[in-house]
Amino acid sequence: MAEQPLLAIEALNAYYGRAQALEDVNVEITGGSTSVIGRNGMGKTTLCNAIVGLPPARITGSIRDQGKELVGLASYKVAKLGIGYVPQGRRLFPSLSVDEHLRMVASRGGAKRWTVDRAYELFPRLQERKRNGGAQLSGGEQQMLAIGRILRTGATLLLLDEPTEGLAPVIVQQIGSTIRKLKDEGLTILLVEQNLRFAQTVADRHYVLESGRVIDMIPSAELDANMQKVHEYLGV
Amino acid sequence: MKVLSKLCVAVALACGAAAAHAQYSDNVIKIGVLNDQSGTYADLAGPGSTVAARMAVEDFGAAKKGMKVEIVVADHQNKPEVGSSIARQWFDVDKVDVIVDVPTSSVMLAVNQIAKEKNKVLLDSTGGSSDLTGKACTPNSIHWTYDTWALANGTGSAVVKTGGNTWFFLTADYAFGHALEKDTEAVVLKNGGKVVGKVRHPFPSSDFSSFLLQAQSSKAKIIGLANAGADTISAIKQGAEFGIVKGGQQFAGLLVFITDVHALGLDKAQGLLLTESFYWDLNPQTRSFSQRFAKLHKGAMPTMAQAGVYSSVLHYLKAVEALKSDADGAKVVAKMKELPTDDPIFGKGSIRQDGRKLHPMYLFEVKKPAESKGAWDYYKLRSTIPANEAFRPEKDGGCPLVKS
Amino acid sequence: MSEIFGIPTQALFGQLLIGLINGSFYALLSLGLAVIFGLLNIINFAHGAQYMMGAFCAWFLLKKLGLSYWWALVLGPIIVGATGVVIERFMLSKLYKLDHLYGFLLTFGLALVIQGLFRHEFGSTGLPYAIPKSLEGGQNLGFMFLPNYRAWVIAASLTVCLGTWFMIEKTKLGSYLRAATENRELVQAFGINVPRMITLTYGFGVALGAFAGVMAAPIYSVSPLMGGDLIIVVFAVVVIGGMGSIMGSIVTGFVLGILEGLTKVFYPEASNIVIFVVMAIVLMIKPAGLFGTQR
Repeated sequence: MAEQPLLAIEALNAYYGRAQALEDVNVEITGGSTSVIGRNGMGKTTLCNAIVGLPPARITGSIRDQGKELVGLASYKVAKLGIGYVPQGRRLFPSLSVDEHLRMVASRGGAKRWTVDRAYELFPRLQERKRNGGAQLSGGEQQMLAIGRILRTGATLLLLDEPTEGLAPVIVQQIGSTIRKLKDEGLTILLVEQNLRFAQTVADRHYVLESGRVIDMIPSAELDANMQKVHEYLGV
Repeated sequence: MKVLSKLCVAVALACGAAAAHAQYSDNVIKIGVLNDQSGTYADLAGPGSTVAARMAVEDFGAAKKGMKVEIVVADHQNKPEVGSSIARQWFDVDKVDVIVDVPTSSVMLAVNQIAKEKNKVLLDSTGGSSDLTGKACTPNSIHWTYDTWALANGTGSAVVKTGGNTWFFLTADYAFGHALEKDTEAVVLKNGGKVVGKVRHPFPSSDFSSFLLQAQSSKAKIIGLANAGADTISAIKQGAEFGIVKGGQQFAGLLVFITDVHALGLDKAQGLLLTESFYWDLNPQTRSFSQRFAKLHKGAMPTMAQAGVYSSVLHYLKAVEALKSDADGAKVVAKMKELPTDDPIFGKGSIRQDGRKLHPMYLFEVKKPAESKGAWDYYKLRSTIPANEAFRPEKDGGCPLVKS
Repeated sequence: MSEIFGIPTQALFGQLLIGLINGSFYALLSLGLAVIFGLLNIINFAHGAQYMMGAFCAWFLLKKLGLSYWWALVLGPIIVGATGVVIERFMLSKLYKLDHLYGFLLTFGLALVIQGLFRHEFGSTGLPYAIPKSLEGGQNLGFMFLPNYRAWVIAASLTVCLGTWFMIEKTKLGSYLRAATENRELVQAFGINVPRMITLTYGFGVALGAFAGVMAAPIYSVSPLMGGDLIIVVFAVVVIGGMGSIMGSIVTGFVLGILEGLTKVFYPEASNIVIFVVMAIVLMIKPAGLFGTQR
């Protein structure tokens, strides 16, 4: 593992007009799998958007990918650095077929490592539905496609925003095992979740986000010991 | 979608809202050039007419004679309502004494009423409808350069006499087209010809293929183009494409200006018969006038419409000088009718009681490319129609001013 | 001779064919508008002016450089498309954050400026542009004389329209476009340079207009006003077909051309308003247009 963190978020602030959505957020990702947990409206999606350079919040502070500053960079350039975004709600394109989703975003590295066939191998369900449009898939299939699509870009750091939202428990398990498999392949995962039980099965460390601030960081191993505190944070 | 429809309305309003700008002044002879500055008829009259009016003021020597003459210009967009509102504004607010040029018969007839109502003067050079000296004649207007009757008489009778005895009309659907069609039909019938069909096209049109096809299937020998400017050009150009002439039919351009021939190119226009009252290469006077004009107007030779504006402004100033007043429009026009006309454009001539300016008309044929010595050398003279035969006899027009 | 509503069937066939020719222009122009509207969400009011620029480009290439019609057909769209790229890059792109109305106002203003400049320079009567030698003459189809050039217009327009449709619906490049139409930001987050894609799309839409302009040069007078006259009709076509619908704009273009052609036979005086009547009816029944989906 490199000395330098893969992704270093320092003193990050985000504003919508005058309202502050993130305040002095510091997160360090050094490989493996990290989660950011928090309730709805705590700034999780704002954080994701800030990392990949999407509007609409105004950002100050620093996000560095192996030393390279991301704040202010156009989002397509961020993507080229190997940061792949699986947005909340999957956001597939209704007018594109499954196959087209997988083919459109291919980049040099990604296309070699994650061929379309390999994506289908990972998600056999998708192969069966390859001609279907993005809007005709079930929630689980949509999530698979959203992940498969981002692998094809050659991303080495996956940013997953609430991947389990609205999915049946069986599917959630399946997604969890997929993410672990990707982690084993050497991908770095940043998971943003409110489902602690799921995050626990996937991530090594957990940052807790509340009202736009990181209020704690708990390694997975210590999670059980701190369960009381975490439940308070999440208001469970 | 809602936005789009709102936008369309906004555009329509923006297009219709252009208005004239002129300044208030008194004790000045103010000439308003009212024409199409930007549309279909902008090249045959348009800014060139303004150039001609300025030349007339200069040649008259207004400054030396201590007369202060001003020229204002406006674009009527070929819309009667736009023309009317400009005319009212000019007469009421801006103290314009005389409006000249005014192409597009529908606008001409609207302005004619206003000039009479306000007792001002209309000297129309480019408008075509012969109604201006017929039932619509007034003591305040003069029809200067040509009219539909003269065109029909010149081209129509020449064509019928040379064997073109079955006609199909392609008519611009407004006052001028209707008048030209009516006048020509009368000439054709009088000379023993027949009209086998007609179609009225929207004004202006860019595509004539459908109408040409109808003309083609009518089997008429002659396709009479009762339109003008860009419409005539498009019709002839597209006609060549559809093999009209090769198929044995012939076009008769009832109103063709030299700028139209220029735009068509001799290749397409050759052999066309047309009637005009002016051609730059008629005699030494017309040549010297035209060359001066061309220097001031991007090298283009004057059309008869523009030359007519020069002639009308010059004669107007002579009448005002003689009267020493421009106050009473009807009196100025009466004086103009009393004085003989004389200028480099039309030579010596006169103005009839019904407001018809008299001069010869000429039947021209467009040269073949090989016969032309260069740019603007386009016409050969086929015949001259003397002034007393060129225009509709005064008694036939039905003008109330004519006492019989 | 058999007749339908008092019109010989032969004449009717002729008019149908002519309608198809005019429809070719409507289809090409409305297609360009649809492509631009789809991705940029801007109604490109400068389209008529750009069509006119295409025709002038052809004239200029022939007159000043001696390049033939065929060269113009390739170079015209490229040159005018490049001006589109400049317009997008330095003007339109500044407006995306504002209301769409501003994009409209900009393109409308540009149209007036471009048209005004050309009118000042070239007058309004129009300039002659000859049909290329190889397409002169025509075929006697029995029911009508079909000029070769017009036949070429139909063929070329159909090819370009269907080619564009294929590119957008069936290729990878097209899938970018469709995806970006639906969610511009997200596509950007996949590593695709969306701003550049928008620029090129605008350039392409403009190039389609210019292509139509080059094709129109030998038929209509090359005149500064040629676009202004046509574009209002084309907007109606786009509205009827459904804003932004690719197939809708193509099909509607051809169909309305035919409809207008028929009107010229049965009631010529109404031929310049029939399309607007259809537009009014369609908007009452299906406000999103025939092929459009409500956004």
